[in-house]
Amino acid sequence: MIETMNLTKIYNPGTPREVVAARDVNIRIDDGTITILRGPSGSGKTTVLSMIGLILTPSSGRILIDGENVTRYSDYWKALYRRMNVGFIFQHINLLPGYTAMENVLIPLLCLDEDVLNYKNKALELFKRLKITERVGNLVQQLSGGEQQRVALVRALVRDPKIILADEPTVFVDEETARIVFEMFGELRDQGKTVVVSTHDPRLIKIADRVYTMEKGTVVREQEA
Amino acid sequence: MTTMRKINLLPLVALILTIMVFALCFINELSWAALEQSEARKTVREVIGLPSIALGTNYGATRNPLLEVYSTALYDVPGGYCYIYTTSFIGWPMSDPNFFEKVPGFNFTAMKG
Amino acid sequence: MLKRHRNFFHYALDCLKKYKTRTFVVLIAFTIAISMLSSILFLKDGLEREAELSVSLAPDITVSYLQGGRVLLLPSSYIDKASEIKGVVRALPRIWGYDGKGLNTYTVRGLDLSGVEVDYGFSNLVKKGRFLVPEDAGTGSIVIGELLAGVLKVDVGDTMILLSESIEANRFTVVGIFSSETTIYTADLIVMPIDDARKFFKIPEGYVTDMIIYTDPEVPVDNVAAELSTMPNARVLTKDILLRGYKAAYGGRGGFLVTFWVILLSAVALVCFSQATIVGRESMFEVGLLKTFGFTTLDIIEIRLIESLILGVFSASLGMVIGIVYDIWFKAGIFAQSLLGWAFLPAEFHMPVYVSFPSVFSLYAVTVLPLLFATTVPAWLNAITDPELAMRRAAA
Ligand SMILES: Nc1ncnc2c1ncn2[C@@H]1O[C@H](COP(=O)(O)OP(=O)(O)OP(=O)(O)O)[C@@H](O)[C@H]1O
Ligand SMILES: [Mg+2]
Repeated sequence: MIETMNLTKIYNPGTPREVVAARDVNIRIDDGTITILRGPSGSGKTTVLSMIGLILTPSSGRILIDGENVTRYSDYWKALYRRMNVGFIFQHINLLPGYTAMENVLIPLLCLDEDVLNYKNKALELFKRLKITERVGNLVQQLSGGEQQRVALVRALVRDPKIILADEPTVFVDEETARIVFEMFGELRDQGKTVVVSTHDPRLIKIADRVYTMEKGTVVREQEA
Repeated sequence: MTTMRKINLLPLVALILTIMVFALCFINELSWAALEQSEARKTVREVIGLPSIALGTNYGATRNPLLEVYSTALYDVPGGYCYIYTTSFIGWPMSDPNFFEKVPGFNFTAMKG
Repeated sequence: MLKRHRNFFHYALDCLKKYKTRTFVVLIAFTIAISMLSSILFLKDGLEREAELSVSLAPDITVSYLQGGRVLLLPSSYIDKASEIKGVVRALPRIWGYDGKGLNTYTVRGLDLSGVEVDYGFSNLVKKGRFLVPEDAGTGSIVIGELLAGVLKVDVGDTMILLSESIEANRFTVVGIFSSETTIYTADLIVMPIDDARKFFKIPEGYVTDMIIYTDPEVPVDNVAAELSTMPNARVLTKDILLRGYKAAYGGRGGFLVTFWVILLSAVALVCFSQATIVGRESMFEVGLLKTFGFTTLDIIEIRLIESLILGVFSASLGMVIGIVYDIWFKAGIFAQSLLGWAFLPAEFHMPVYVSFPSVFSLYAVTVLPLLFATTVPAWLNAITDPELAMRRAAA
């Protein structure tokens, strides 16, 4: 379970460009659930998601993982935590240019003490499921936006993380693929994984366990299924 | 990961080159050791007694400019004697455009006997 | 544990391939700089070692005559006086000087053949013909250096005419040519019996250029030297003093190297700067991304270390191999000329080249260390910022 307590992020504090991207955010993410963050553009969804994923240090507030306050844990600990538990799907996709789709999927695995090629079949399975098998050998910059987003999905899911943090994972893909993605999220929840998604898609909101609506950096509404 | 598996040329060549450098280093060291033991050179010492390296020069003053431009420091041993700028010669003769003309020349001919 | 490091190794190689331009630029810049620097360094080391060797081969003591602080001819009577000093095994007179034509200078050395034991092992001294014997006195027999023979195209049995300072033609016959092994000392040498040299230089009877003294190893050289110094107007030079002189000369030449080091370092700075700007943003993004996947700061640094180590070792090794090949097989061409300033280097002359372990290591150090610095410091700076921010900054 992940909990945040009065989580606040202020960008450029003390300067004229100061932005309060998140203020006193209190959310609760239970294990084996789908949690949705929604809200207008600029409301702080990405900021909160990043802080939950421990890739952005909050200005104040606490993040509790299974009741343990990890906010001030070391950089090293956080890296290990991400390595073992978290799969990211970024809003801006963030694939490494210059590598093929398959390579992009395998690069995050390099920090494991394992032969990355062991994951190749798993990756191919996911590629097949998302219907881009024939593109795995292409350099990612040659892929369409939707294809890239699917590669990013495979990259996040290939090592079976306990927590999946997805930031608008379906904006570039077609209806059909979006359906498959949601289906996959459902399956992941059934497997006991925790899924946190920032999205506007009503189909996903329908199957979610809990929905937080954000506005100007604060949570304005919390709905439970 | 296809490219990540290929035997990469760069480190391999780097390794070979490094081994080459050390091999050359070692061979060179051996040849110097041999030179130090050279009988012929010992004989030169005993018989001719020349201490300086024979680098010919393009001006008539010294045998070994590098060593002997500092003729004061090097004293008048063969090869160290500067008979134009007898002492305290500091600086490059190159900077003196007339230097070469000032060098008294010798006539020198050879013929088949 | 090992598999991770192997993974990082492969990834580092991929990075080298990915940033092709940077890899190429760094490789070329460092290879050129190192090949130049190593060529010069190995030559310098070679000269230095040869100088040390030559001093170790020199006579124990050289005595010359000073008057008014200037070197003049030494009266022959000094030789007999010196011979009587305790610890002096042999005191030999020397007549020597320079002779030349055009741009080339040659050393003429008169030898007191009565002073040397003829049955010495002279066979290894000459590669062709024979060495001088006492009977050669007055016959105009000479033994010349291999290089000189090559330049003048003379061989054993040929006659040459040397025009002396006093503009007098002297006819000589080549009876021997020095062996290649001794070329570093004998390249430009013309050795003749002492009286022939006296005649050639027009040195009056009763005087010699200087004298050399071989001492008894049992007696401290300094004692002998002190004793010799009591003779009026004598300047006594021991090997130690000579060596100090050589060292001073080489110290002065260090300036050359300093210049090259400065050039190298500015090249390195330039390369580092350009590589930082070329790949800065891209690698900032990459580092941020890798960190979100769970790479630790140490992992990132390890990857960059491997990258720059391969790059550095490759270019340093290649540069050094080029440097050595250039020095040994191409006789160091331009560098020898610039290193030696205005020295005349005949094509036949082989510069001494000394590839010493300390020099090799220092060359590796100057390539690998700045590269390590230039690649790991930015990587480390990126790695300690929040990955989210790093990626955003890179994307903007
Ligand atoms: N590095 C930054 N420096 C300054 N301001 C930032 C930075 N990152 C985000 N912001 C600001 O913080 C606010 C929240 O940004 P965030 O990316 O979390 O919004 P979002 O809800 O994800 O929006 P969208 O739906 O458009 O992705 C925005 O106003 C944004 O301009
Ligand atoms: Mg966002």
